Amino acid sequence: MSKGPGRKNTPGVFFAAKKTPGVLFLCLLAALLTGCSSDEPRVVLYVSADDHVARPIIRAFEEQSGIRVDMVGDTEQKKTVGLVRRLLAEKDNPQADVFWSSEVFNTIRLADKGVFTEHASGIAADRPVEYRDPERRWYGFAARARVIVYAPDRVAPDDVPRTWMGLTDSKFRGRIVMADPRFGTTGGHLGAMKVYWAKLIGAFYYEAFLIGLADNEVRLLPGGNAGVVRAVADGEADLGLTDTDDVWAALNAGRRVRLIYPRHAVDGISDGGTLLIPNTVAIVAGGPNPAQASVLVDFLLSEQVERMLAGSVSHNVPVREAVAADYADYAVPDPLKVNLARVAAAMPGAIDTAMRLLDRSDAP
Amino acid sequence: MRRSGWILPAAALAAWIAAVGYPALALVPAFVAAEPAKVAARNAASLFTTSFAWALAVAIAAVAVAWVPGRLLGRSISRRWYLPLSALLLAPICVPAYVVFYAWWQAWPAESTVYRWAVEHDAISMVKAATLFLGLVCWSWPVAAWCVAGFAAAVPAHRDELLRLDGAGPVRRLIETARNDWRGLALGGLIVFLFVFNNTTSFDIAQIFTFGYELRALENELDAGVRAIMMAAAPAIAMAVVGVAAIWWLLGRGHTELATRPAAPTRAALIVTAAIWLVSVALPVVLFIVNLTAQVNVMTFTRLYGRDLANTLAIAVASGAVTAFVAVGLAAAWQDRRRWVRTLADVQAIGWLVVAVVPATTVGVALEAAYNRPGLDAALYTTPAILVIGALARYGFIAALLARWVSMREPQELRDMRRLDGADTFVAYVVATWPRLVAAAGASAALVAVLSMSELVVAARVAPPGVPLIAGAILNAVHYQRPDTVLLAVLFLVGFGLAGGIAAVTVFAPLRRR
Repeated sequence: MSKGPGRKNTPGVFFAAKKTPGVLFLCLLAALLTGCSSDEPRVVLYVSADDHVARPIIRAFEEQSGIRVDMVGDTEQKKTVGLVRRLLAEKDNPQADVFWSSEVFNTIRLADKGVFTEHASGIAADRPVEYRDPERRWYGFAARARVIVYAPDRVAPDDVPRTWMGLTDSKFRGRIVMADPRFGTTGGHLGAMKVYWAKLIGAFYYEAFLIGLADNEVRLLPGGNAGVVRAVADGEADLGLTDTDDVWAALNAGRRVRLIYPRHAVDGISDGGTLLIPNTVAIVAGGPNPAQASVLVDFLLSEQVERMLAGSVSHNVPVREAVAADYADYAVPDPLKVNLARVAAAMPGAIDTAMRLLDRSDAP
Repeated sequence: MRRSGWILPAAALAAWIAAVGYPALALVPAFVAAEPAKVAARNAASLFTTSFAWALAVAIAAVAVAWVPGRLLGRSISRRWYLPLSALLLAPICVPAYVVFYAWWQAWPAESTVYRWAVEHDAISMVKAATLFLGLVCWSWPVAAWCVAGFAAAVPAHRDELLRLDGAGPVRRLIETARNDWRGLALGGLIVFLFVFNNTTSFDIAQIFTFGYELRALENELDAGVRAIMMAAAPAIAMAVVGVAAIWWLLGRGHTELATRPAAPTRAALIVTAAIWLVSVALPVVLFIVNLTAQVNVMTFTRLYGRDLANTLAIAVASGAVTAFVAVGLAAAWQDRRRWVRTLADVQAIGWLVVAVVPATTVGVALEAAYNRPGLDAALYTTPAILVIGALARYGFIAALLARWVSMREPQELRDMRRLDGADTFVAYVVATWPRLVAAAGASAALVAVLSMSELVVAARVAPPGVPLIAGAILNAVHYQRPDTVLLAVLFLVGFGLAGGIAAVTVFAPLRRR
């Protein structure tokens, strides 16, 4: 092939002329694509707590410690399990230093799969023993409670079930919603029911509860626990199984909903109230910034953070009794006592059973 | 094309390998290595049928709504109002579909007549489904309109005049119009169908289980490996491949050279288009703002989400810039005299299209399989580069389509003359096709930049630390019922989108026949 019009005569096509802006652009692009590095101390945090709740706490940490936090959040749709799956996928190539989860059961599962490393935190010594891993791989703080959300316009206060089993009453047929248990805290709650009732009454009781819900045509929703509250607030359902923080958020947004703390056991049996699910924090084994990770974990376990979370829109329940006393409006009466590790182990089976009995995707 | 001609085709090929070829290849060992998993799954056939029915219904409605505006857009190519009209028809696409639904859903708040009626008649779920349908049609009809416009612009004015001279009645004129536009309508319908089928987020918010949702649930099962996810996604992947084959076939058919004197737009078409735009785009925005009860605080918003916006914009610009090179490289490759180079460009284009219309979950899985490994991670997986690769994977098809459009429109005479003159170098090609090449590159860059700002599924899976994006913040704000955050974020997106739309249309301006 012969030569065409020489390059020398070509008017500024891409690289031919005016090189400076092109070179500058390529440099900028390269900087963006490879990330801007600096000597500033940093820590990588994977966080499944709600974005608007976590950000002020992270900012406070950055201001106090001088350590920059590079955060990866989770969407409400994938709540927690998205990051859990990611941590597991990155086990041989860890990117995160710290995992702040909004629940405990998947944290325990990850710990059992070797994703976390031990951390001896002096600051965590004053929390209840159930909120500490015996092997010191994770710590719990600032809990949420499982509750029933209901529409006060459509459910009279006397009709609201006082126990979880009360949801199987036929008067609620076609009026109940719950989140897909494969995401969020719903699966852990089902695991807790299975473990607690098996010990208290018998293994059959959990399945009886699910059969009762199925008879009541409970509807699974894809929008997480926030979606459950939205469905009740929008009038799609009258009652739903959800978490306190989602109800507080709806009330804060002016929605007409109420909540109740149903018991797992009948009155008179202590430690049989509703389930408290703490936030958890753990250090990722082999993470790139272990020293900064320890500083961040201790900060998240501090009284300051518990107060910030209790005062936030999600109104988490402090696990330190002294702090909890200052937020009595959000105290949970007689919370359920259950072995969290056993719940985590029972969770997959509990979810399988729930999907088998409650999934109505085959229904016409 | 010889000498320096290999540079940009090679750059396009490199981008394709990074975003499509290598991730697809990386799935193979991950698929083989994964153990078959036992996971709790819902009825896949039933969910597939649900998603299929929704996608089909929305596609039909979107095409019906888009026909008149698309014809108007195509026939306006030489008119003064072409630029604002194009920008107005691009703006809705830059907002995520779920936000359009959300805006409509906010249109009937708790105290409204519609809401009260729905509660009294136990019809909230039905109203929500109808609102979702409305929102998806409002979001998708401009996509179909752009497809129709491409074919409508090829209709010369004398076709209308001949029909008038023949005394053709309205029915015959409609038939003639349909005969001309059917490829554009079919193309638009197919693209909308595939996009809606793979849309998960809108359906989640509307509390409707879909095939895409089930894939995501499976993706997040700790015991489900790549094999389980890809096996579950197989029906959607097969459908995407068939859809892309149909799109490719449609693109290669018919007369598509722009008419020297396109048929004139009618006043009726202008009125109908204005009405459709006002009802489907302006009205939900106005209703959303009117019904907003929360206090909007721009300072608080920018303090909380300024970094997200800056990251989103930077990723968009980088994705757009890389896409421009892809468009130019592919256009150059299709002009090459060597058949294997052109065939390679065909393979790339088909690859870009397939990746765009398979479930986004599978794209995220493939990118993770490819880049989440020691050695590669420092360069790509832990930096924003992975987000650019993700955006390319989802929207690189735009560069392929526009490059195809450019390469098909160089008149054969000009191509022959270049060869006869021996001006077959890359530089000569660039000079000869300069306006079209710039148009394809610029429009690809602008469109991909705009679309990448609302990409969520892939970004949520592979986002590197410290790079929060605004799309995730919007979705969380929707879930947590914070309409003030949604509104401000969307206004920023629309602002960026309009700027991108205007940029895209401006670079196309030299192509308009006057």
